[in-house]
Amino acid sequence: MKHSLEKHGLKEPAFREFVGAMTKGDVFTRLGFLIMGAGCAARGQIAKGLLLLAAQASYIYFMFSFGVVYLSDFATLGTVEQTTVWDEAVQINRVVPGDNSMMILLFSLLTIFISLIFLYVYFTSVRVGYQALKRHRAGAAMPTFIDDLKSLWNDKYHFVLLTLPTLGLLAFTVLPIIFMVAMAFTNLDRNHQPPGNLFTWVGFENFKEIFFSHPLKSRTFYRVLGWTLTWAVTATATCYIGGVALAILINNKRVQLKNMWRTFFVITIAVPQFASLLFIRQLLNDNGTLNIVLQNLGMITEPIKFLSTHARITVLVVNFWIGVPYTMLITTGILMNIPEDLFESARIDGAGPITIFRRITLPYLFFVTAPFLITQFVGNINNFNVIFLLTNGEPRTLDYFQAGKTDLLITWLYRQTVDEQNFNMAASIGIMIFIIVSVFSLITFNIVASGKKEEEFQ
Amino acid sequence: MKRTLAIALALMLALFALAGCGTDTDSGSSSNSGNSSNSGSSTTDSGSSTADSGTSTDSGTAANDGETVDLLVWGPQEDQEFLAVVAERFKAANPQNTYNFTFGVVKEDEVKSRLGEDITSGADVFRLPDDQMRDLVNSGSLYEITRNADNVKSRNAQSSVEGAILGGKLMGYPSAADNGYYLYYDKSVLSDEDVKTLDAILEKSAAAGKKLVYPITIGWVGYSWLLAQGTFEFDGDGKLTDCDFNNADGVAAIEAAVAMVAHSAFLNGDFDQVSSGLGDTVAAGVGGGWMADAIQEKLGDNYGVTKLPTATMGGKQVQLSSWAGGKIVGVNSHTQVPVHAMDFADFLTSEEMQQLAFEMRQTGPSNINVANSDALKGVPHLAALAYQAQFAQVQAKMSDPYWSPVEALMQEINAGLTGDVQSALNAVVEQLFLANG
Repeated sequence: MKHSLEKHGLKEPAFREFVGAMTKGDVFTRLGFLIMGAGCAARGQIAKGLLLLAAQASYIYFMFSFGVVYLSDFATLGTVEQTTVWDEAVQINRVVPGDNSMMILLFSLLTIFISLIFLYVYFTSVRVGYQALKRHRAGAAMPTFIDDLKSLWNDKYHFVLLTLPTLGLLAFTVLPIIFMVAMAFTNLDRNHQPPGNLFTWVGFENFKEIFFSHPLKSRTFYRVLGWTLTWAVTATATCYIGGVALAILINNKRVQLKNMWRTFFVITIAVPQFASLLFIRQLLNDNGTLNIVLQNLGMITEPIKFLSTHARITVLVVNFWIGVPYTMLITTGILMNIPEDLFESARIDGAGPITIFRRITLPYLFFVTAPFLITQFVGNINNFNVIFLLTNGEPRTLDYFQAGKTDLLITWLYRQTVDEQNFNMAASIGIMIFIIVSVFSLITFNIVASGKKEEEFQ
Repeated sequence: MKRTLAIALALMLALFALAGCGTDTDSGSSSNSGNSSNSGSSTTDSGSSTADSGTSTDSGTAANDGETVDLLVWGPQEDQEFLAVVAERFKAANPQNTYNFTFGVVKEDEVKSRLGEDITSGADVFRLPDDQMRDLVNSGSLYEITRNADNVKSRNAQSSVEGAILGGKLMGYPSAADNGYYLYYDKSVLSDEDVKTLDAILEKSAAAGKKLVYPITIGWVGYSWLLAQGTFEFDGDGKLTDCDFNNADGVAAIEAAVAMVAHSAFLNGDFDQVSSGLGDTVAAGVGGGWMADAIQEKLGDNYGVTKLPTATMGGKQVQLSSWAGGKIVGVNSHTQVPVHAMDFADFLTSEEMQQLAFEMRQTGPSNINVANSDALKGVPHLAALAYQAQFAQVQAKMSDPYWSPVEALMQEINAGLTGDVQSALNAVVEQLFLANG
């Protein structure tokens, strides 16, 4: 801390410092605008100055050897198509690679990303140059390179720890997301696949198609969205109500062997979900065990079409069966934690079991499980597993564009990428899902957070 | 102060690393694509838009001796043994060069997506189902086949060659004509006479308390109804030009399908239910060559396999149609060694190697001579495939978006069609043309 600027009263806001380097600085800090590290080097911080200079040199090298090549095509995403040239000697049409729009998009974004980082380094280099000048003018001690390094292991240790994870996050999470978002504004569909074809920016064309301009796609979007929300609300509500009811039932004083019952239901969690789903798919198909048994018992003559005609009901019921134990498990814990004196005083006041449930148990439960409910709801909007493994979105219908009656937005998106290669449309749907999910989460979290204080139950 | 230094330090390291990454990508992609002797110009890498010249590292004429050539070949797990034998024979036949073969296990139907990920790291030579041809040609992923092309065209069956030609260019080497579906049946329930008509199959199966499994909700199989008496034509580039499914014949075909679905002996299921159900609850089922062994083993002497039956459409018997497809050996358009890759692909699909493939893997050949051999005719399911091929359409011009509308129609029929057939078929035709893009 011995070199801190505060001690000398030299602390300034970052941007004022940057401007100050120009207006109040000397020739070296001003030179620092062109040659990074000049300001530091002039005040004896040679090593730091050289490092900054090296950063500048490597950025310039990077830009000219790599960045500019891609960035120059960023506006068009490439203009040269792959062609062939006849090679008489070996009798082949030699392929001459053209621009690859995918690579141009990816590496342009990378270049922009690196440039932003560099811009920050540049901004900082000017500031530290000016800071060195201020120290010099104030006659304060100049930290040496060793001092700077030491500080990394003392008061600046969090930088040592967090720099790498942050960069990793930016490079492997943020950059790919931006890449995907960018795809939504291109025409990268099955007819514009690299390397043989170029794709380019089309602005909001994909969103327009999904919203209104393409009758089939927009109709599909609204209907699939409608089903997604219906599904999410119903699936969440049924699982929640079922789980709570089951927990209360088991928690009842007159029920014997509580732990055994709970264990029975929890066992279903122990089986991997995809395994039970695939098993149920076998069980429910037209020639499946359930249909055969029902037919042998003479209860039906024709197989019940669980996975086609009644698919929407089937997925809801199966999801109920899969989801109830989770809610039961969570609610059980909460029920056991409701203070007994609350019930006791209620009973003394003459409240019946229904009033107690309505006035005490339910509000308490709801308060504690509200975040769980929201997570469940959001999870159900994107419940890929149950739909994909059970029905794969089927039955498909001619009313929809490459989608089926049980398709959620997320499974429709999946089909657009894997089967149909309409990456632009998939990216647009992905953005819509993101917006829908975040809007719902924000609204519900806010509603739940407002006016719900734990004291209300005490 | 020190904090900023810390950032500067870390970011500089990152800059170096990222800049390093950038150059890595360049050199990486040109070195991993199996380069040969001419290492001078490796600038034609994947993404670089600086690749302005047509330089390739291929050595020029194949007559150049003493080269060392690296070839990466993709094939499914079951074909690895076969490919290794072919590679050895290719080396023996071409002693003037040294060939280093690397084999990657990639299923045939995954070739398209794997090439889409990064074509420069893809195999030089690979085998693919012919209905992926159009997409790969459109995306510029396949090399046009010009070496020995006339011989390739003359030695393979007409329909297989047609399947390998797009936009008037030969884009791959026909390697197998093994894809299609036909009827497997249990001879203890159905006689050879019964399996000629759908009506008899349904009637006899119902009488025996058994089922016919016809997986119509799979688009590939669902098409057999509409193709039976409908026109479905593509132009040279693979765009749909003519389709009349929504006329009276199409309506009759779909009404026949609806009648079949309503029959008590009909069962919608997937192919697994055909192979597992035959001999038990299933009297007959539609399927392809991959399940022949399992069914034959199960049924033993009652094993029967033949073409699809005829169905009653508008009062007359109409033969159900199907798709005739096969495998094609393609050459990566970004290979560094196109000449050697083509020569190997040519060798891999030659008469001798198709004969070998038939012996080792029971692959249905596209080569005319192998297809006409007596040994082949002795394999029941290949004979059934050839029989059904007379009523089949070439699958190679198909691509993914054309499956979806018919699949949707068939799934609607299975779930209980609500609207009338005519308007459903109008929607099918409209969406099929929409798939032209």
